[in-house]
Amino acid sequence: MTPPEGKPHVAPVDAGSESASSSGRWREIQRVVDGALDLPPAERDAFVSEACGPDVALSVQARQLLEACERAAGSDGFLAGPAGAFAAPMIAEFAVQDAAAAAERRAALADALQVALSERYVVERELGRGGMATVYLARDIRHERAVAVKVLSRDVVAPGGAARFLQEIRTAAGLTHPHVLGVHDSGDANGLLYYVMPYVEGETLRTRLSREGALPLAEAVRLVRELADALAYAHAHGIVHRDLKPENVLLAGGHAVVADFGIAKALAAATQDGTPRGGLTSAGVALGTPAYMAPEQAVGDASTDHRADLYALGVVAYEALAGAHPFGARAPQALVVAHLTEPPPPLGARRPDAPRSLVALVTQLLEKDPAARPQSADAVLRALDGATAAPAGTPSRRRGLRLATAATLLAAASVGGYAVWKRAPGPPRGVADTAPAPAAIRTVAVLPFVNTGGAAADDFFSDGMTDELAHALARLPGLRLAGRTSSYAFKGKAIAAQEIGRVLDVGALVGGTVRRASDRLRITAQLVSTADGKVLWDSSYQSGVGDVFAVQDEVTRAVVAALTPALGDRRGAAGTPSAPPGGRGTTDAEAYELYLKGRYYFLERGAANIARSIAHYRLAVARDPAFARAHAGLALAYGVLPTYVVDPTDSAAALITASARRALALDSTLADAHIGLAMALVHQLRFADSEARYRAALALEPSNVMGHHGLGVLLLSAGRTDEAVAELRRATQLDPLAKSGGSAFAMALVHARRFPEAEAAARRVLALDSTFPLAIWDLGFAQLFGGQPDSAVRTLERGARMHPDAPGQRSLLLFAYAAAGRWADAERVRAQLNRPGGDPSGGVMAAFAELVFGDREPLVRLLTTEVGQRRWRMFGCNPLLDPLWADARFVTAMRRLAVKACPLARPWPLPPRAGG
Amino acid sequence: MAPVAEQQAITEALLDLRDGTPGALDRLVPLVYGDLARVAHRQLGLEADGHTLSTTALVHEAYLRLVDQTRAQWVDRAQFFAVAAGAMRRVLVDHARRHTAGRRGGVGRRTVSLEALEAADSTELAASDRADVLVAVDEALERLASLDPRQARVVECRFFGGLTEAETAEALGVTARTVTRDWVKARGWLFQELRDDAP
Repeated sequence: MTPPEGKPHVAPVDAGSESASSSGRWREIQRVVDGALDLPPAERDAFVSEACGPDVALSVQARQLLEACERAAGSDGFLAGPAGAFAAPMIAEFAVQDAAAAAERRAALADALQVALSERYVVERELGRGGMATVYLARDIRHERAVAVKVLSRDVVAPGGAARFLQEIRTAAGLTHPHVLGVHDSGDANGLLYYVMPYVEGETLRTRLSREGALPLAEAVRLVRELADALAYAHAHGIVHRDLKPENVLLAGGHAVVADFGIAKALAAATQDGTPRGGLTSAGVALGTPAYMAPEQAVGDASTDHRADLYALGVVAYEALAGAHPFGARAPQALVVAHLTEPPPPLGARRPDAPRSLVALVTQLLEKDPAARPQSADAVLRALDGATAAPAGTPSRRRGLRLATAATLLAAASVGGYAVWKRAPGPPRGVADTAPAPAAIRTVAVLPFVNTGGAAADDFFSDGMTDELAHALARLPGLRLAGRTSSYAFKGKAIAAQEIGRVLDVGALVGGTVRRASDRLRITAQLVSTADGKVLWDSSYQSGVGDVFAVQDEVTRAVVAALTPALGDRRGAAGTPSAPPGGRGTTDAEAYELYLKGRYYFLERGAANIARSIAHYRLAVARDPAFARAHAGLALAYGVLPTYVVDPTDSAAALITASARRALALDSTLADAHIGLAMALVHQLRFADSEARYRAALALEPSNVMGHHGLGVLLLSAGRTDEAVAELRRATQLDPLAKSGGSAFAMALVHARRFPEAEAAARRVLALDSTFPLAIWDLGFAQLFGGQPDSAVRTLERGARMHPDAPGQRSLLLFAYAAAGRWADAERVRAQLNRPGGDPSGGVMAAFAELVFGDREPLVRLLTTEVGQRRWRMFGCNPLLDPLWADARFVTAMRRLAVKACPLARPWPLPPRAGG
Repeated sequence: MAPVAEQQAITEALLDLRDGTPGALDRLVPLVYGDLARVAHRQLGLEADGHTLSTTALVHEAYLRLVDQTRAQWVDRAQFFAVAAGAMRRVLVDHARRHTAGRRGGVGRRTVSLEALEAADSTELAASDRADVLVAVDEALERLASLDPRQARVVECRFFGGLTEAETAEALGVTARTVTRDWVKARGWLFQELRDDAP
């Protein structure tokens, strides 16, 4: 028994020291501590002294333990919850880290492969990945054709396995048949074993079955015939497949092509550690797929032969006809047991329209005893000729297959039988590697692509990639896209997909990595379900840096295609899913890069960044004057500039308009350009025209957060409070973590006089950022008019301390002092505002101060002039303006601006200035 | 075949456990570990996101599976809870250790910051700190077991198994009062043992 080590840095005597390890000493300490714990805390010390007597060491040790017990018992956190709850966030984060590490390993493998094969192939992207191998799409340079390159994982190849693997592959490469996928090439590339097949466009039978369940009878029969044909040919050449399954059956132009003939044996050869064995081996068993494995193969029977393929054919045929695996979804071990012992459920009951002889043939293929099955694939072909000629209920009468199946299908459909078997359970879970298409993904967030290149300067590029994708997805009808701010809130954070899905209220996440090396660009992309965190689709792409557009297009197209089936009946409306919606607008890579940088700084906000953004956009349009999106970006940057920079000349509107018009002339479908124009029109107080522009933008991009936000604020100012609340609620739903949107929503609720809701909305924003000035303002506003003037004072004083330069809060604080009856403080603020240079708002705040002190005249005068109106711009049902609605001049001025009169306005929102 | 021998060993250990044979529990944990680990992993994977990991549900499911497998209806449920708690400990600590490997190469006693120790429910605590705490608790628990096996077992049931005091008392065949007292002392000892007193 090892004694516990002492704590060297604890000074006097240590409870964990050698002496305590003797059980006698331990028991003594326990006895003293037990006795002390029985007493109230105040009496414990005296008890310890007495119980230990002259044994000072014992008393020190007992006191230490006692103190630790008290400390631990008083701690809420220490060993508090079950360990599982404590570990759960750790497990979630480690899962994310593991996934990232796996992605990194995959990328490294792709790189190594490309280096090794660079003479002959250009590796384009990963097509799929299994436990033992990864398949890449590549271009065969010499023959100018697309190929699939399958690479064995390094760690599955046993010493000496490489030579045996290549020997087996050479045998398989001899096959040439219309329903057999041949092997072009194979080799050992710097230790990476690979073989090359033609690239077949189309899907696997697994994908098809997952999506549609049972196949139409005629098609199922043709498929079985083609598979039998392929087997007959290969068997005649002495090659057994050993791993026939829907994943290995490609559907090219509707016809079956069987992949990986003889590969199972080659893999077995590669993975065995050189021990020669006859027939199948335990390794061979592990390599098969339990769901399709003949009983004799499952138990490693050395006499396993081509008839095992016929059994697998029977399982595939059963699944194609019934829409489900004969033994359903079970664990691999249980499937093996089922193959060995269970008869398959009668196929005739699951597929009533199948001819009896076809049912009999499939049933015979599924016989446990190889001797009871058809003895060759040729025999299966002959039986098929007979079987399909005899549909159910019409035995032994030859009839055209097409006619028979059409008739039976029709009959089944008319009595509802079609629906019954169509809804039969999908493929067995745990068998299919590919997840079935997501049921209904109509909401997606594009998470920031992670820049794995290491250079922070390239962040603009990964962000650009993200935004490019979001831009394309925003135009897909029927798809709701989470707002950028909220999606970017997860940048660099390891948070489980489910959690993100919950926060953003989306069904799936798109994300990935971008790596820019000196001259190479590599992008990985993933679509992840937020229901269960499963990866629904993923892929990787690479190219030279110069081909950035092509890669972006490809990624976008692939993501759109992956999402489009999930959009269900809206697929038609989405247009051809293969075309990336929304053009980039330039062919000049440098202009594009300048644009991305402009956009990056724009989204970073703040005065300096907006200035940088404008500079980059200007350079972009200087390089490519026809670059519409850069013009639109410039318009938006000018549009937000007045928020950060005081612009006494009010030149923004002209600049915005010029850029936005330029953009629209080049591309009238740019939502950003319409939004820019709408902003300029607000500057010009042309509310109705502005609204039309916002609506045009939202018609183009229904999920555009800036559009909803801008329109909401506009409606608020126009006195259409309820519409504004709805619009801003939409903006916050799309972008729940965007602070400015949340603040505008709170302000709308203040206008609607829904003060408790407004307070809650403001607090939601403050939970994200307790210093956000607009939300502090909103909270104070809601408290002030919601009957809590003292709370309002506290809130706004806190805000004024945090943001001494924010002018708006000062005048609102003045209102709050007045409402709380603190007139001396109100006087002090008024004096500050009246000092020269004390009112940065150009007189608006000072005019409000006079309003608070009972004189509305200065404010009425100001807000009935165009200059004053432009400086304020927040009209409508703003409670601060309530007293003005009693003034005819103000009412007329508002009517001219098409601002609706506020029905909620009260004569005077504040208590009168009493004597004290 | 191996599985049969394994089944027999499980049955033997269960019988010993029922009869109170010393060491039965320690023999049983590794035997059923694989199965429990699978259940635990599935539970963890499913529920990690909600941060509400139901250890009790895990233990119940594992118990039902064991009963089903061995057809041993007489297995004492409470005693089995202690087995499951041990398995849970191994699953969680293995997971934590796999991810701390390499980061911590040192020998000797592992301590953790007071902040990490007391932050059990805080969502702020980083994953690596959680892993450190779990590994440190596990190692300290080994030392405690050599001094006082029952106290260590109580921590295993209460913390790793998520059992209540009453369930722990039943599982270990002691009174609830003993569990309460052992829990106080074991927590105190662990706190003292784990805290990083370095300035």
